[in-house]
Amino acid sequence: MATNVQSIVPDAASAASLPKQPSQAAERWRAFCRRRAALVALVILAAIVLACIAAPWLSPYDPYAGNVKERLLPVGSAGHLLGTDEQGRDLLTRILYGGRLSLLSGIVPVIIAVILGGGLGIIAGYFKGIINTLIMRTLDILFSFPAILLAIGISASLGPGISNIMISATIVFIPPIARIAETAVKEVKKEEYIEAALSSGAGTGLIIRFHVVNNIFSRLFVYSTTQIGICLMLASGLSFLGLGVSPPTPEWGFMLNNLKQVIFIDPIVTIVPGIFIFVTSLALNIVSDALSDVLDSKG
Amino acid sequence: MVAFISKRLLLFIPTLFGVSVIVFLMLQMVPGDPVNTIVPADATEEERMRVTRELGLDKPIYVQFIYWLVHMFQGDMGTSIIKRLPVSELLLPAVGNTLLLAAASAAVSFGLGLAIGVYSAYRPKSWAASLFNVLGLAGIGMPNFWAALILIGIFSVSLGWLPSSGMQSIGGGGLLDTFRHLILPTIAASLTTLGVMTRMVRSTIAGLLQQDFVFALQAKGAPAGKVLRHVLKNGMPTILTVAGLQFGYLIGGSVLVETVFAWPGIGQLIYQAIGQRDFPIVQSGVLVVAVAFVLINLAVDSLHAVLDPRVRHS
Amino acid sequence: MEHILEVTDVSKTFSLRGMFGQSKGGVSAVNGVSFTLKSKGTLGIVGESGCGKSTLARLIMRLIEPDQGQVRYKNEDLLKLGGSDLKKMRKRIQMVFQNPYSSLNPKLTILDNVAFPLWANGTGRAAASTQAYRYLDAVGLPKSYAAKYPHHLSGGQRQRVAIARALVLEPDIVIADEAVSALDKSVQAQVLNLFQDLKKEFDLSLIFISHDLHVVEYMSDDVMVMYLGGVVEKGPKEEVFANPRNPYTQALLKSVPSVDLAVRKAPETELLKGDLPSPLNPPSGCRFRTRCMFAEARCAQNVPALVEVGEGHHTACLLVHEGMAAVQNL
Repeated sequence: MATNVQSIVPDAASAASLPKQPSQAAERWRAFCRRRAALVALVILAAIVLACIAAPWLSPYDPYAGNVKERLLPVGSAGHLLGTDEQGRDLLTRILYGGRLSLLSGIVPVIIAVILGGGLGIIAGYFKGIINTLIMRTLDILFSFPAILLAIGISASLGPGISNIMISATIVFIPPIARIAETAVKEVKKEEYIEAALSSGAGTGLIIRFHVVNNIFSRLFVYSTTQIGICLMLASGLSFLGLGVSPPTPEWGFMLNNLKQVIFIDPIVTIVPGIFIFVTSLALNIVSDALSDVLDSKG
Repeated sequence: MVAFISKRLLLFIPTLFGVSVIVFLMLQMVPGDPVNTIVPADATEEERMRVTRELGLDKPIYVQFIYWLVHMFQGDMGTSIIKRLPVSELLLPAVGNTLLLAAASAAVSFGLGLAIGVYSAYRPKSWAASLFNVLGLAGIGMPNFWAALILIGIFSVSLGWLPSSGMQSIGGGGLLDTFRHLILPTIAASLTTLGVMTRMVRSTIAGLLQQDFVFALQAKGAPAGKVLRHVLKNGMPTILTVAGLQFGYLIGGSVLVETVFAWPGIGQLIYQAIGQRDFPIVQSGVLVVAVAFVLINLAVDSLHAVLDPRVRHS
Repeated sequence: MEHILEVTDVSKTFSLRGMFGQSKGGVSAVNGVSFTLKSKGTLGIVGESGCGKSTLARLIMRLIEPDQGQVRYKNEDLLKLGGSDLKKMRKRIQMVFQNPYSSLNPKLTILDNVAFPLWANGTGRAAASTQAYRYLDAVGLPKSYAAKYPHHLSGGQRQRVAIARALVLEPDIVIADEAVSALDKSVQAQVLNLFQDLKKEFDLSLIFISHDLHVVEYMSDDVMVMYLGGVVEKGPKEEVFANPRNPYTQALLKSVPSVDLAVRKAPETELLKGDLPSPLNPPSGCRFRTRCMFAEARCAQNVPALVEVGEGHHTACLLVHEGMAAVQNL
């Protein structure tokens, strides 16, 4: 019996000569770049974000000051690439400035929801029992509202304002994100490295910080990126209903709201700001689609 | 299965209770004294006290909640502050109109989604499938209120083919007139759902086409139609579940589309009420849609259990 | 020889709950198990999967709370400890887990995986890393591996990391729960030898759990055989392997493929019949009787106690106690 046991090829030595592995991040970036559509979408997205940030340097116009003589100039007019709005303000300028709030209201609620919902989901998933029931059943109730209706209800109650839109969007995104986190934590808890950590005498806080959070992060991240496009649409929808900014602040959803009154005069100008909502959310969806393909593959 | 559905029904009650708590809390979040929205600005202190008492606002908040809940159960949703009509009288026809729009959108997006999805699954390499794939993504990324504006721009303003607002022409019209009014809102409302359905049907069917039972059927020489029937039968539980959820979203998401087309549904009613700070309508409207959404989920779960035995035994 | 760990009458029943939280009976996973671990000795625990070996390990570690019993480490009952006392005692006993793909945190580097137990016990980052390097070296992993992640390593290498992590807290006792079962035969041998070496180097007492009789024989001084949550036979390795008294042990030894021939010989008589009964509803009396060749009517009525049949050799079988020829002659 012992003869069998002693036939040894040292595995540590043989593996030391393994070729140097490229880092995971670089591998994934290359996988992402192989998806042409995703790369194009990422470039478009970056261009839109940068243009909105750099609006004051890109546009010579004041987003608030209009020229009555130049109302509703068509797309492609000299000096006004995308025409002017119902008050004679340059549309492109307003879109670039407006994008700042629109993009923020797409991203900020998701980030806050990841922190709050992720936190709740981790607590619920880690502790099980009564704490889990309490947290998850409460969130289930929020989840049983159609998202846009819940957001409208909360926004309407809080009163108009872009920050109130962000608050209501955050509340809408907390339950699904918490659910993803909870499921992921429950799976991680079954891993033996958690048992190993427990038997080393580690406290709950340390285990969550070093063994739970980093192991659920990529799933949470992938899911959250798919929510940014949805959040952008939700927020601009609320804004479109007049629940967001008040005039004359530019914001994509609200600009559509203002321009819809002149749709019978110039339908093209009316729909221009919507192109930006559409292209941004489409690009976000394509990028997040590719991200989930690239990151979800277990590595 | 009876046990499964009765368990779902049992969960339904606390969910409903929770939903009404949240809707009630929404009203509590409204800044300012609700009495101010009812009494005229120059009302005397006695007048204000009388209204406060009438509304039960002098009672503790949980008593207010119980009053409100009991009234809701009796179908008494309060009175519209602006229109001075019982809320239920305003809501009922609106719910009908919303359901009509949601049903039309569901029919379009489910029917087309199934057809396109199956086609794309069968011919994944065709140019049409790639086109549909891109269109599906576009549908998901397209805000429906913007789609609504585009449709109006093209079909009402430029071409003048279809009406852009309301449910009937002035002076009324027949069924055909209502149908013409229904077309654009239906298209606008169904785009997102169509995108979701197409992609989901395609991936479900494509997955099933790779399974052994399909190869077995083909090896036996079964005609393509018979293979498809088997595939659809296997994919139906998944497809129906997503479809059911999407129907819920169609009702919930109707607010924006209805607003653009002035479709007299519950969404538009809520939208107007928000502008006028007519909170009893907002509250009841949100509650009605939320309850409908919960009921649809319940129905979808039960249907799923009927169709897929694995669910009820898990 | 001095005893470092004394386990007395430890039991655990997992209760099952129905749809509405009502009790639906329980699974008796570990049932009245007692044993002692000699200081610097190795106890092998062997049994089929599902016999409660792993649960027993987790009960000793208090990863699962036992329903009853005592676990005395140097005369202190670990089951009575709580809070900081438990934390202090806990690191005296460490565990190496079965699955090298699940037992290392994939998001921490090898070094951090090994250093974490030290962080958890208040050691600073730098000091913890120094210590972790030392133990990575002790298990034979080159320094260049410290910055790698678990997915860069083979199963055998991962298991070395897991061993380093178990040792980093300088425990007296290491429990290896099927620590080599997931590895290839050749790698198994290296890891077993590593255990032997480390045991000497760090004065460890080992509890070696395996379903593989060869492994247990190779590693152990004492052996304990478990069946369906209970101990059926235990004693010094030579005694148990050379002179098995319990029909179950005999069956296990018979069903082991002969190593010398490297082919499985068909046993002349099939000693194990049927499948493992459900622990949800274990047989009455002797739990092994449903699969025992020699079972008699009385086996269903009486629960056999562990009785000494030789020098430190105990077995739980009514027939052996009564002296049945067929059993003894096998």
